[in-house]
Amino acid sequence: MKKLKAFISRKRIFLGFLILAPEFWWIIFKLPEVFRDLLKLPFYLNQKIFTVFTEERLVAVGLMRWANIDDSGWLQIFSKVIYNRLDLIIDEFFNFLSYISPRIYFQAGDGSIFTPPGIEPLPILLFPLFLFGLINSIKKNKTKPFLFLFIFTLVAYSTGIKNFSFLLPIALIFIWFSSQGFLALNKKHKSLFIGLLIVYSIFLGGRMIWLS
Amino acid sequence: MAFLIGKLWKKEIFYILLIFGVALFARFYKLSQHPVSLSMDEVSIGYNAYSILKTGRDEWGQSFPLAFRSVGDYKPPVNIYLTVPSIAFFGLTEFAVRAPVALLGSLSVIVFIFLLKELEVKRIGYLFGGFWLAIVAWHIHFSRGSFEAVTALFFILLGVLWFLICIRKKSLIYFSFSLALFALSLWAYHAERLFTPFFLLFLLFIYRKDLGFLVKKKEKLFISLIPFIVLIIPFIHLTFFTKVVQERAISTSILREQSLIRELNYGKYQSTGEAVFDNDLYLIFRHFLGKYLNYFDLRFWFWKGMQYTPPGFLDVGLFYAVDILVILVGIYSLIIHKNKNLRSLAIFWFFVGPIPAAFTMNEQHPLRALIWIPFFGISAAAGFEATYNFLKRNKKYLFVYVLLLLINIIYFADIYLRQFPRFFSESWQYGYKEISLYVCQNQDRYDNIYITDTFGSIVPNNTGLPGLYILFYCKIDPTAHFTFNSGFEKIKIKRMVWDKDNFPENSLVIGSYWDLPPDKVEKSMIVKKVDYPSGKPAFIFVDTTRRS
Repeated sequence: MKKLKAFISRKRIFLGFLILAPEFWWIIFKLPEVFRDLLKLPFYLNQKIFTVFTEERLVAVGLMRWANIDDSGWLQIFSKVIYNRLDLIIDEFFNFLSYISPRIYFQAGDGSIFTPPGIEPLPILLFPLFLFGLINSIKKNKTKPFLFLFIFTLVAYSTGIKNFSFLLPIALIFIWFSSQGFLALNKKHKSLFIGLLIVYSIFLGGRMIWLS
Repeated sequence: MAFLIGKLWKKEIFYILLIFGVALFARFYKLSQHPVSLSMDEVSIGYNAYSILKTGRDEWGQSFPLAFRSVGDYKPPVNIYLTVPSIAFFGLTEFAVRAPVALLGSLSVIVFIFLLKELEVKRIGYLFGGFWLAIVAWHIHFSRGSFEAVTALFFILLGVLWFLICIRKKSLIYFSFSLALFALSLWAYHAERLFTPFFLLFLLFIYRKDLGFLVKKKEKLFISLIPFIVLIIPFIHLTFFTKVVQERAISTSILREQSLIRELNYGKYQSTGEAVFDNDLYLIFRHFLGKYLNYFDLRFWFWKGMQYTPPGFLDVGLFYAVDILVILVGIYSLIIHKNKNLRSLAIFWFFVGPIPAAFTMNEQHPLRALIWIPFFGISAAAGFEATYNFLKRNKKYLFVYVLLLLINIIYFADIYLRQFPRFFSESWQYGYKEISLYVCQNQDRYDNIYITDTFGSIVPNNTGLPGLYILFYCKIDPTAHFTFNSGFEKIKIKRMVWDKDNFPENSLVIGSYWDLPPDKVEKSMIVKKVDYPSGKPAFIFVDTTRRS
């Protein structure tokens, strides 16, 4: 109990932001569906592996080579050097990065049953704090959150599914970064921000209930 | 120029000239052929400039207009007036239309180097920043297509440079130049109309302590403001008392987007709950937010931003993929930079840069967001400055970086010069040049000429303005055109249905593959065909006298 109290005391900003995030409440009401989705993880992983070099994607690469077919031999070889499976792997790397695109977390959601429709999963007011928190964490050499972010993103990416049953851990890291950004504010700005955030979150909560 | 190059050492001048050479090469190499055809906007710019040169009037007969009437809106005037000397020198050609912006795009690189220098970026940083801008796909592409955004960006960069010099030298003349350039940027492109006022206010705010000298000589200050006032008053008049600026804003606004229109209540709320929780203001804000955050997407930045190929194909980002670390390190080092003014400027540019684009329709629009590019240039410079010592010590990493950059450039060149024309030639109205040239040469042989305005390689989803291309390529005398509508006596532009239209004898019918299906048109009647660079048929020329 003491440990829990100490944890809450240390992480109260993070917990406060978490409670004010519509996604947190939404996912609580969707826990059975989340668990059902998590159980499909092996299936998703298996499916994802086969999507990297699909026929369709290889054909698209081939079609780009086709542009050089009328040219001399060395250009055809050149074409194969620049358009090949490595491009698809780089494409996958950027696909991996798209799992941490702020739009999903601060505006659009995933479009599935796992995010509240019509509102942002995390209040947009946290976005600037998230960026400053990110910078602060790099500045202070805090590697752990980045390691966790990498692992959670890798898991979500490996499923090939962009929904909050797998993106939630990333959202938690985003909230953590926001809390770090908040800590960098001065006292006056902190109070102002908390006031704004509470009012805005009440509005979001009200809209979530109203829409559903 | 002494105040700019006075402190440069000889080797540095050589590097700057070399970078300028690279910028010129990237922007002028095969300028007439790439992009693959003149776009409607380019043809319009070219013919209006030609008309101004010959008559002092635009294509509608308006004398020296401040906004050029176009189809559905008004064009900013700067590019058109800049094209006049080019057309006087090179004639009414594709090169003449594109050269002014390509030159301004190249000069932007030089301006950017001096701007970075004024911002106290170290030598290696500002040279790299200039080189980065010289070779970046985002800026090269728009510099080659006579895009107004490049001109406006040039004015902004030069405006900031003069502003910083004015502070260093405490000179009202530079202040005057700077304000005039900011005002010119408003005349040059739509996005700047939103960006520049806030940007200028922000500059004045962060440098307020250094601007004290301005108020010491009030009379001189007033005189220095005259160019700005002269440029800004007509603009304010056009913005608030005419449709000129408003029409463009309305036609591209997010408020016209179907996905938003479907959601809005337009103030007609059924209940208090709806008025509070489904308020239009929030819906618009949320819609804007989606567009805004879309610009903070690493995939868009480094991998799939330029849209040279259709979805599902490999593409090029706004920046080269290899620059991902340099730019991210640069963003980090800017945000923690000790130079407070540089830091504030960078943060402002980072957050405000994509706002004008986010207020308009279309997702991730690289052209409308071009005003954002200096932030990334500053980041690249700061990033390289921050990593240079490491790279110097570990030359193998520098070698790997240079090698990967070279591969990236080759990759971009191939996509830009080969793939882009193949996939998107029709979006650039490919084929209208061939149609126009054929019509110019052969119009005396026919009583009527019919030209389609609808075409496409997969479906007929493009609508064009062939009349504009005929004006341009046939070099029709502007006086005759706006007085007598000369040049179009025989030419009729229409959507056509081959089976139903019953084109009269001795007519030339130029239609798309969809208008004149090969199975319905006798082969003997076809006098010419134009194919897209992809090999798909674009236009078919049919002579009705050859009907059997």
